[in-house]
Amino acid sequence: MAIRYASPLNRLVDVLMRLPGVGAKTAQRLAFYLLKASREEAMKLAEAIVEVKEKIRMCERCHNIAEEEQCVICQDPTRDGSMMCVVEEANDLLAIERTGTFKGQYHVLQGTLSPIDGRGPDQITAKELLERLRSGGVKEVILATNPNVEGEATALYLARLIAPLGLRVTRIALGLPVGGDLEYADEVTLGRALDGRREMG
Amino acid sequence: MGLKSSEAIVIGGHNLGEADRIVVLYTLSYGKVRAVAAGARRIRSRFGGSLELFSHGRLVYFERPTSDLHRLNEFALCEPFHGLRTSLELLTAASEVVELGGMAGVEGEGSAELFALILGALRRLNNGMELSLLLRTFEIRMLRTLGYLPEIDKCVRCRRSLPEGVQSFGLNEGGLLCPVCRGGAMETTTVSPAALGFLREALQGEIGSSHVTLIPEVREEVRYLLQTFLEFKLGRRIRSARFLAGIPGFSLDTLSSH
Ligand SMILES: [Zn+2]
Ligand SMILES: [Zn+2]
Repeated sequence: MAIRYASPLNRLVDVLMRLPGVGAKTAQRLAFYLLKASREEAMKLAEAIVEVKEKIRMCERCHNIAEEEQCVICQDPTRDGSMMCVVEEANDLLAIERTGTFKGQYHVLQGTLSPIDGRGPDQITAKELLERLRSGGVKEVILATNPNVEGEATALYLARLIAPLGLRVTRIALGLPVGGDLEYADEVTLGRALDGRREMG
Repeated sequence: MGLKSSEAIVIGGHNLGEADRIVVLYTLSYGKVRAVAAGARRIRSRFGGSLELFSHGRLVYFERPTSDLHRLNEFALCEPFHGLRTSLELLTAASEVVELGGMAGVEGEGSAELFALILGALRRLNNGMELSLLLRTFEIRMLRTLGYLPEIDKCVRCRRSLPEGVQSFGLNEGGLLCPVCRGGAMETTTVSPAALGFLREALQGEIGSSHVTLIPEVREEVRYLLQTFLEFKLGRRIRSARFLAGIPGFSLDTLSSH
């Protein structure tokens, strides 16, 4: 039988446990830390959470995180409108930005395809991507999904989806070992991967 | 106790925490095994890309006696099956093979027959085999391995021989029904002589050795029969088998693997 704490504390443990990578033990440790912390420190955390939910939204163009209707990249007039890099998550976009190698536009899919998990194209922003590409301007699409089975499935699908548009479609590959997450790649590896991208479709 | 080792195929997996991965394997000696590969998602992980879906290799894991989630120590890759990632159709077909393997596999209990069936199907796909007929062959053989091989030669209920022509297949009964017995049967589907001919052929020889071709209608009939019966017996949907149906421009029938 688990020990039941006073209910506000229970509630905090419950919500913390829903965070990715946080189990029961960690949730309890975090909750007790916050209980002992100064009111000021706890409020700072609470306010930061509220602020992020109120001020950060999804860019209406590329689905990156944004503070306004469009993200800073979409608003930047110096970015090259003829190149578009397609990534799984906003984290991957940040990783590629850190390399400083890429100066074009992005599109964030917000997920991947997975036959074995039954995740299809309606669960990513593929339709929005196609609409953006149809509206013109982009000459090359770089598929920068993760080099694992889900990322490959997604890239294979997108390559055929956009093939009728007659654009140059490339896939990043060189330098990235299969099975890893883009988010954890170091700048040199990721930069080289972008330089060594290959034709697809 | 402790360290165990077996030939294994990666049949599933999902991310855990920051950079770890839970890998599901079908092993020759111990059946289905779930193990945590620490740091597997890091670009410079010692596992590299070896733990990707479909990989065939030699697994070493540390068995935890009190849990069914073990610790993955080592995976020496034999066949990475890179060819299975060259088209979405091929990747989906191979996904169905490992998904069904996972549904059929039992933890702690290895089956040499099931292992050979999964590995054989992946090899045939990787070497360029017509996709949908290979999957159908895999499915009927999977039913046999599980002990659910349907009766397709006589009436499953009264054991009498069947008249010529289109037959009636009872899902609950697990086989063909004669005109008398089909009366009270609840869930039935029709099967043509051509479809039955394919099923008999598919059970013979090495997987994928048959050269039978089928017209699209019969192909669809066989697919429907086998998938409905498998899902009925396993009590779960085969996700990969339904995956391409909702995606325009992709079909297992339009493309062979190479
Ligand atoms: Zn944007
Ligand atoms: Zn009968």
